[in-house]
Amino acid sequence: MSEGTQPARPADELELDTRTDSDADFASPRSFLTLDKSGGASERTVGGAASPSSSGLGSGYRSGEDSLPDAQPGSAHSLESNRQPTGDADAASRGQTEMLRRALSNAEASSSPRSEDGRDPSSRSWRAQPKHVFILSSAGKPIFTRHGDENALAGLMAVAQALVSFLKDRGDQLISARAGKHQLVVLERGPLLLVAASMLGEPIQVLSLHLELLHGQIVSILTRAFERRFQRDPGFDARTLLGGTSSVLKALLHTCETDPSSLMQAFAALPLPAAIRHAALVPLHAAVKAAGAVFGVLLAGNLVVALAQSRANPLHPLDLLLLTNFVTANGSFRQSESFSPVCLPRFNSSGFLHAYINYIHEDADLCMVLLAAQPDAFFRLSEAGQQLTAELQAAGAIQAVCEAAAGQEGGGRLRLQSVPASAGGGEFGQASLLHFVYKYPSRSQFVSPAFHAPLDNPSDQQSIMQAYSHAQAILFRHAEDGPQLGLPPHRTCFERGSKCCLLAYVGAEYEIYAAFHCLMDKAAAARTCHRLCVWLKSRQNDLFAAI
Amino acid sequence: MAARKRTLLKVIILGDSGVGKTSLMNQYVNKKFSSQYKATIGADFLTKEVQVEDRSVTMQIWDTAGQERFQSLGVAFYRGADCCVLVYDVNAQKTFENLETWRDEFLIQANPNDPDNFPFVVLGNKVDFEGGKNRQVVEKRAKQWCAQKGGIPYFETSAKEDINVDAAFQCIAKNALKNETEEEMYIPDTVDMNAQSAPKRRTGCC
Ligand SMILES: Nc1nc2c(ncn2[C@@H]2O[C@H](COP(=O)(O)OP(=O)(O)O)[C@@H](O)[C@H]2O)c(=O)[nH]1
Ligand SMILES: [Mg+2]
Repeated sequence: MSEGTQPARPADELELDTRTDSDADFASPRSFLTLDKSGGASERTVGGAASPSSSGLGSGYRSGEDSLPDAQPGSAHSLESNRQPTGDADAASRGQTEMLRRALSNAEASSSPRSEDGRDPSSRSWRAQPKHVFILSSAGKPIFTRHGDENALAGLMAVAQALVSFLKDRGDQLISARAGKHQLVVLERGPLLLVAASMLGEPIQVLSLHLELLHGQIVSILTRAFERRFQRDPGFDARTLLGGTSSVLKALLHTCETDPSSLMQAFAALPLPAAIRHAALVPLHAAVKAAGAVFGVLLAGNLVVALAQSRANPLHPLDLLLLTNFVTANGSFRQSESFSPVCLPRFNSSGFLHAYINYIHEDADLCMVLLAAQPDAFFRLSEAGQQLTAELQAAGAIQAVCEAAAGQEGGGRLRLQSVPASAGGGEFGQASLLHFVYKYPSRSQFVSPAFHAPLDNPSDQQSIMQAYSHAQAILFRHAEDGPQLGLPPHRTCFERGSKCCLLAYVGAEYEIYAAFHCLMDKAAAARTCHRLCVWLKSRQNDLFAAI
Repeated sequence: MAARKRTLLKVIILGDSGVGKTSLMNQYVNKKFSSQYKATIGADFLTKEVQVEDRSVTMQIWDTAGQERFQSLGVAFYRGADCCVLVYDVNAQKTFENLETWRDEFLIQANPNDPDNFPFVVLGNKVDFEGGKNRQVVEKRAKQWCAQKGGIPYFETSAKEDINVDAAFQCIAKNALKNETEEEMYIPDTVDMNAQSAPKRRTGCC
């Protein structure tokens, strides 16, 4: 597709969902709405007016033929219906429906600033992105886009806003819709709309969890106090407050796709001899206490070395995920000891804590984070931090963490090579396991090996993550309405996919998700998986942090 | 101060059906004019990047339909607008008289913080039509109305002949920028640990 001119689009793209052979890409903003053509079947809405005729946008004009009276060459395909409104009562509603279709067709033409630098939303590379995520305000103003430039997508954002407000007027709340290969999920949080459009195949719950986390990350940067700004001025441009933090949001999305922590709602510890971890935890606790801090955590990359928290205020694993991402995605924290306000949304979304962040060892990415509730706590925390560093040094903990993490593939994560062959491990070519996640819910932790050959590229890793998320969705399907009490009705799940076969099992003390080579048979997978769990349990004290 | 933010302006175009709202927008953004009439149903969105003084600004233009039956587009459309463009046809008296209604409609729906100083721009369109022979609203009358409303900038335009279109939108961008609220300090509270420790305190959001 050439830049600079409006490309002519093949006619078969006009009807996205109605043809199975067409490459329905939502990235043509129009197909944002084409989702409605599929009608109620693949679209889920919730809310008041859920009568069959209002269950989606589609029903109103599904039979309407598309006409193209004034389509400009290759650009604004009009999607106006030939049918004329028949009655007044119907007309307003149909008018809005038409409006949306029309808006989409125009947004397609308009949202491309015809720039040469790859920001053009109609560019092939932009469209080819497997997953788009946008954030916009309830006035339809762009705040964030994962790919491209959010200003260039203003037309698309306006459409998304129109779509959501349209459904809201009808008492519906759009949760998700299918547009060809894309799964679309919209989440409304206060004055923000978060939209995900993914071709990766995640279950809807997983996409909305990603959006929830993204919202949580914004709250971690601003607290929810920014909502008051929107109340006073709905046209407020939130980018003025978020300036420069889009890399943090992008890093979070990357983590969500390639790291099990969001899916498992748990954190991963750096594997360490238990005695060493204890030697790190004791001075960490002491530092938290001495400085009157609320939490303290030692990180090696995004793995937890030790975590100090009080029983009254345990750190939620998703808060820890947001905090870890906030710290690791901010390059400036590496430069010198830092003091930054940060909000932990699960802990308290309306106020800041103040984080003292200090990298103890560059190569191992070893970093201390001490969180206090006083804006003037810097010197106290800094002093406690120095003491902590000295004690870690004396106890040999820094040395041990470096040995475990620095220069290690996967930043010190468990490696499949070190898992016994009988438990599915071994060198590349011998291991029957491709990857696994072992979750230990009572400690909010999981252990998972580093990705390595043959899972070298991100898309293979994403496929494995998808397999986990599907297995989890199957096992916990009934837990959607609330927290799971006891064990799910289905405790095992075995799925054979094109990339791997996956065995998942929910036990009384743990959950295991094990990805094997495609040809593994089920009984063998079960035997191996059992031995793997036994082996992991025997190493439990080294693999998991005390909390 | 941090690097100047890139500004996005939400601009709403209102006016009776057929006065040339969509044509003006198309002329401005796409440099195109079609004499074929086709009612806008609901709303269209176009965006354009403009330079205002030394700032690069993206205009997000929301073109609305004039038809009675589609009028209630809902608060959502007007929410957070930075400028409202009122368009009439200089060859149709009625469309001029309706400006008052459009202005009121906007102020009610958008409910801006400072309605008296909210930036409007008025465009008298189709000045080219039949060489101005059938003109029903004279420039003086229009300017008078604009003056009454607190000095709304006024432009006589032709979407067809591309007269004054750029100038009008340049003014729209400039006035919308004036609407920018001053940046205030953003200082949220710090967690109060005394309140936090109380067991039922849970303000989690996700
Ligand atoms: N002669 C002339 N015709 C115009 C002009 N602007 C719009 N029109 C015509 O007026 C009709 C209505 O225009 P349109 O942009 O659809 O009006 P809208 O309903 O306000 O959006 C169309 O047939 C246009 O071609 C203009 O400046 N001069
Ligand atoms: Mg129109």
